[in-house]
Amino acid sequence: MKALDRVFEFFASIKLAVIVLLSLVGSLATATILESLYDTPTAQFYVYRSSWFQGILALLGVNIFFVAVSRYPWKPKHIPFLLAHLGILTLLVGSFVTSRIGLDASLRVSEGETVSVVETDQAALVLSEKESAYSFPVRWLPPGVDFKPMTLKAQGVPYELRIDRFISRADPVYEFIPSETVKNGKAALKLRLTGGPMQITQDFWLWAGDASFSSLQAGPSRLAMVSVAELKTAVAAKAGGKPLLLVARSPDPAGLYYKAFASDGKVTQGFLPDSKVEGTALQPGWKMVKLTLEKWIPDAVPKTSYVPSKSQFGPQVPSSAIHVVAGKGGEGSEVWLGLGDRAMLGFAGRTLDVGYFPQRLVLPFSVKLERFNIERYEGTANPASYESRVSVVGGDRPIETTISMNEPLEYKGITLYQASYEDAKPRPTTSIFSVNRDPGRPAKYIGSLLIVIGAISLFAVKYSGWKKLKTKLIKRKSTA
Amino acid sequence: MMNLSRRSLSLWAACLLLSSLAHADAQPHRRLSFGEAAKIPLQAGGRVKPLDSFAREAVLFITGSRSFEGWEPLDLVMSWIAQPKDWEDKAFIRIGRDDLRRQLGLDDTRTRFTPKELFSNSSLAQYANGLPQTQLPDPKGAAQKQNPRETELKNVLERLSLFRGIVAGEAWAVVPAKGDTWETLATAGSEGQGIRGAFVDLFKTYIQGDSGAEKFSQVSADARIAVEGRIQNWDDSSRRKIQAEYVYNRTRPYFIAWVFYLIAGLAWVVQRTSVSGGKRLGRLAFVAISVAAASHVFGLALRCYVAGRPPVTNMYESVVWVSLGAVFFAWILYLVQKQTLPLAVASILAVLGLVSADIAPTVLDPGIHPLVPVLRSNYWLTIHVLTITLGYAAFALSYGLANVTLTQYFRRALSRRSLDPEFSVRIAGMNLLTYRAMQFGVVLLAAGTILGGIWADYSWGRFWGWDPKEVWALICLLCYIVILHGRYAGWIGQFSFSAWTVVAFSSVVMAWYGVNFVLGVGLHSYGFSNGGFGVVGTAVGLQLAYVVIVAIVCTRSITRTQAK
Repeated sequence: MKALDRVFEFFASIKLAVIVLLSLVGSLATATILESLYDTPTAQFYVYRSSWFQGILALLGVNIFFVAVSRYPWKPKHIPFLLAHLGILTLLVGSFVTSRIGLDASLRVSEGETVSVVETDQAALVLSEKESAYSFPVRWLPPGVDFKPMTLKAQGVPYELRIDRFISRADPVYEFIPSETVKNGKAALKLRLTGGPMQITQDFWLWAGDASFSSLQAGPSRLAMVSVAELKTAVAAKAGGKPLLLVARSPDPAGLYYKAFASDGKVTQGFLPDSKVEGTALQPGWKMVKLTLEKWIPDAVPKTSYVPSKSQFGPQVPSSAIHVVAGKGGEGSEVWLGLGDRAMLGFAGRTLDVGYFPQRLVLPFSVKLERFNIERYEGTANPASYESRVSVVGGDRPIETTISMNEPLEYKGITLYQASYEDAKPRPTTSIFSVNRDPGRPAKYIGSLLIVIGAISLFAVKYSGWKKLKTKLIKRKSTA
Repeated sequence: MMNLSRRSLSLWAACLLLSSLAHADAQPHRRLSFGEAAKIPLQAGGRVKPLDSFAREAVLFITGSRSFEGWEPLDLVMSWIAQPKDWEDKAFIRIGRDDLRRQLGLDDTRTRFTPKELFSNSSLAQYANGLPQTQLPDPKGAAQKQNPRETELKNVLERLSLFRGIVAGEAWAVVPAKGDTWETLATAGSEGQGIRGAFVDLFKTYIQGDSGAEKFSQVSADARIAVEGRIQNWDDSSRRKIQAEYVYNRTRPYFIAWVFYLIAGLAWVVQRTSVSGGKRLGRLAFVAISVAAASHVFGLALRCYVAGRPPVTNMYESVVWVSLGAVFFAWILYLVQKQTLPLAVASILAVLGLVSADIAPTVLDPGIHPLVPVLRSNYWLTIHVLTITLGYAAFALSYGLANVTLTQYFRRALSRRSLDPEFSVRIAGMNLLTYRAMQFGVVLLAAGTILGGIWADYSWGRFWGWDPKEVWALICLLCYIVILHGRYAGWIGQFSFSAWTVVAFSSVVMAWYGVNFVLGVGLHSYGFSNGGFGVVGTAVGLQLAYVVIVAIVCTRSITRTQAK
């Protein structure tokens, strides 16, 4: 019994209170410095969302609870003390409820669109095969923290599937490999450019399969992969006085046609059979630049992988990427997925559809953006205010209303706030809402009210201490 | 991208050039009366303001000083426009960082450079072309801090481009248009004919110098009427606002306030140390602090009226507001406890606050600028910020009082007198004043932080988001709560109470200044800025050192008296 008393005394002690408060001060200060040195997600990972920090908050709650109980039976003089302390406890409970079962997501909708899917800031691996689908949250880790491979079979998936690598801030690296299954006719060519005043060497890929890879600009020169017919009809005017290289894949005779225009109008052209392409240096007569053909794949498919980004901290960092392996891995059964990527994985005779997305949730209604309005300060591009005219579809009753910066829409326990927009010319037409459901809200508001009333009454009562001292002062003066 | 090369002069500037061929060294025009010209409305920085304000902001930004070499700002700007040739070789464009000056290959010992030097500086031109396009401000106000040297580089380029724009007539929009954006004299078409004519007359008279003094007011008024005549919905209230801003610029109410606060503070100090003349000094102090507070309130009220919002949206305004808050709480303590000590302390605090707002205009920008959307017209936001800053004011008062108490201990220890009961009671009385001020602070800071949560919940959907400014307000609150608990438990005695009160104020400095000027991250970025770190850091360091020294001296003296 005595030991129990001592435990109780400890948890109700003012000593514990001061220790907890001081460790809160220390950890909070550290967190803000971390945030300033690195960025918000890093500070959240190491402090605000860490279990030890949650532990300190819990300890604060326990301390307050015990100290309140220790004054039992409560008397009227305890009221201010109880109000302030139970207020803090209520606020803590409310915050806990919010963090556990609250919804905090964002909804992006363009004018004319109707959307009911919201995204949270938690990323997830989503996989589906025929009828069945699974979703696994992938917790974000800051750079420098070891990632423990996740085996999904342990989590109820009937396949051998695992995430073995994770990059916090990842940049994509595009590569091309020969297409094994079908001859797709989409060639890939790796070019090496050496030149410029600094003699910099850089490799570029050209690929016929996608518009973003079929043409590129390197300094003043342009490189493009076109059809044979286009190449043959191209004339110097197309280059417009700037260096231009056109290449085309020919199936018969199998090889590569090239045609290069120099800025002085000189044209160099020729044909290289498949086996002769790699290692050939072209002599287009371009000033200061050397051109070498490094790799030639007549039928190529892209293979994207991710590497840690050069910008690891700050406001403009890229998102994360994961590496997913099915079965024993190998060609076609392992893949890199950046946030927003989707791919097919084949193994053991199955085909899996895998994707790495922000976790998505479906609202019990849809939101249609009728119009987005923005007002700017006179004579400047700085926004003064903005608002969205929306209609809510699929609820019990149709609603049409305006959501603005300080005027949210509340419907079915879910609140939509005007958070941001995507800037565009001539005017922005895509609005971004933050979508919340906060079951902890009543507790937080009641707690806040109690704290303020408690603090005021606590000090008002303490005022009597002053009067005592004053009489003492007067006495001393009169005796002196 | 900024174009630093000299473009062909606009039609507008060409008109003027004719009259400025008479080349001389430009001198301030002491005999010209700028009262009318100052009130010409123009559109700049997102609002319509008097030409006077535009000139003040431009001169402060370009030269880094309120009145460059004794020039009235408006006179200086008009001289730039009318006599640009005279200014080509004058060093008046500020480059505030020595690392940037070295980077540009400029004379490291000077802080101001001539337009010629800078326009012909090839590294500067290169940077101008290499700079990324300025990003649109984030609607929520979120921002990240920038490299201070890069910021200064951007500022130098903006100074040059502003100067060019002023001279070429491209930077001041004085031709009201139907839409929201006014035209400048350089861009306006035929609709600007009348106004252009009026301005050409104005500058022609200006160039005649003091000989045209009588005519100057008349042509200024003509130009003002020409502009006003074209503004849609221009009414008495708009005219009153321009007038009010002009009065605000001219009267310098905070200067008057701090001078009188200083008189009040000194009078009380002398009264405390001298034996005779106490009553008279006391009366003088009361008159002085009343005049000071009246001028202080007048200035803030005028500013609110002009800006159309409460005065706590940037660092400058909050420093002025907190100074007033400290005086306000001192009055309450005086009324309740009938002690003048808080008033004396608050006067000195107000002098410190207002002087630092006055002498560092490049750090604490005194301009009135529009707000980011989230801060606009929101009742709860206003209440939240006013409450929190009032809390800071109460803490500042408790900090000042605690410093006085510490000094009492220090003097007692140095004079080797024992801590007799009479001294202890006096200290207890002062500490109760400190404690009272701290209570105001704790209640206001707690309420203000919670109101901030409620406001954030209402407009963003989250009550608490661990934003650095929120977190530091909380840290502040926790620090003071620790002191209150320590005092309650009896671990903190009279001496430690004043010592810890002084130390705890550094958390207020961090929450108030540090988050915006040092950490520079988060959603409260509308107050973000650079500068002053050395001064504030040194001040905090010296203050903490003082506490340590007093603590050491007092402990020794106590052990000595005990040994006796």
